[in-house]
Amino acid sequence: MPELVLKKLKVSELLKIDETKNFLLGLEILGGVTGLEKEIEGPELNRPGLSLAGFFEHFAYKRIQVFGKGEAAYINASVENKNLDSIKTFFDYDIPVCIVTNGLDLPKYVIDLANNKGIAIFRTHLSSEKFIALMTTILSDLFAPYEIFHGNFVSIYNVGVLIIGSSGIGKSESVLGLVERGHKFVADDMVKIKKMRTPHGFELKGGPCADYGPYIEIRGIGIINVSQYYGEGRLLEEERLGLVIKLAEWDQTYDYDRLGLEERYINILGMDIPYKEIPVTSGRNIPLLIEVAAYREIMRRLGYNSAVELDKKIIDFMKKDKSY
Amino acid sequence: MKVIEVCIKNEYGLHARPASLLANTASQFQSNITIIKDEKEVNAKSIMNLLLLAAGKDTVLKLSADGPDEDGALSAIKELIEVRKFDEE
Repeated sequence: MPELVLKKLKVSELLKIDETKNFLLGLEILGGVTGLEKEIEGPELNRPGLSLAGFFEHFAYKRIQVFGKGEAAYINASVENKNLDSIKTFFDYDIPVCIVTNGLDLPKYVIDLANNKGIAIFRTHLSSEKFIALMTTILSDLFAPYEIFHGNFVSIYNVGVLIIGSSGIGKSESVLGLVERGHKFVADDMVKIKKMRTPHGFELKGGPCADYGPYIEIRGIGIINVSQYYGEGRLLEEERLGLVIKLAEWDQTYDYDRLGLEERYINILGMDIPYKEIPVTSGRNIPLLIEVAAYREIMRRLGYNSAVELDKKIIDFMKKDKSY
Repeated sequence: MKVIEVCIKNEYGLHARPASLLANTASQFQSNITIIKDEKEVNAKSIMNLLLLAAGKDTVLKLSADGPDEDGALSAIKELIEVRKFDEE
């Protein structure tokens, strides 16, 4: 599967994202409506204090420009003193969008300039500090590298489990069984795994590809809305990926893991994720097996392995046995 | 039905990893294969059964196979135990 990255985001998308998040950012348009089709190329924000003061070296003009109280006051003062050169130069750059925080106003001169140049100006009621933190989180989420998998995603005891395998092997049925057992549904059929930066490095997060809702397709029954059948409490928006399970037809020649002494891994987006291949035959309760595999993964993180423990006991026993 | 004797040669005896190798080797044959140590008789295709034997180094086991491919099964298992020493040495 190829690694994918969102390269560009239209300015107008910011408003749509805000809408899906219940107007968390509370963005409103102050001007420059013709600039809504412009594209944002990365998740970084810029505070353009220096540039507004006339210093344009290393001006990161391709980023979203955030005007806080300081910038707004400086612009107001400059316009009042007819000191307009650097503001004019500022808007000559190909800026994607400017966002004013603290619900502040900008002088009519600046709005007209933005309208002229086709650079959108938004306003938010949030403080700069809050807005930058929120916006950075939302944007790094959107610009994170990702892969799309044909499979299902469930959260079992807070371990995100990606279930893959060929069509008709019983992935969705297994998910239904797991939800029935009290675990949480994340995505059916198409799963988006994205690589997020954390204080400790990176982590992979799994979620649905599209926000249609928690629908699952079961052969012979049809489409089921998981929240209607099992309740809103069995749903989860996304979960950290901890285990990949491949369901496959029993293969005589494949060397199945019978002990679990060693871990197997699969590489996704440059990270090694524990991997188990579970053969599917009649009489095997697949949801139960997946649940046990997830529980085993928790035990593994705690440093416990049943096979290692048993092996040690047997070796000790044989040594004692011989000394008699 | 054929019976042969084999001797465990690797240092740690028939612990988990060798048991898994033995069970996998035995499973490749159709014959019924059993291993006998003292009064214990176990199925060679089952890992948990094999572990029950607790067969340490220098233990002599009776290996019996019954079926169409019994000769092949016995020689493959004997080689695994005595020649390859479970790939541990």
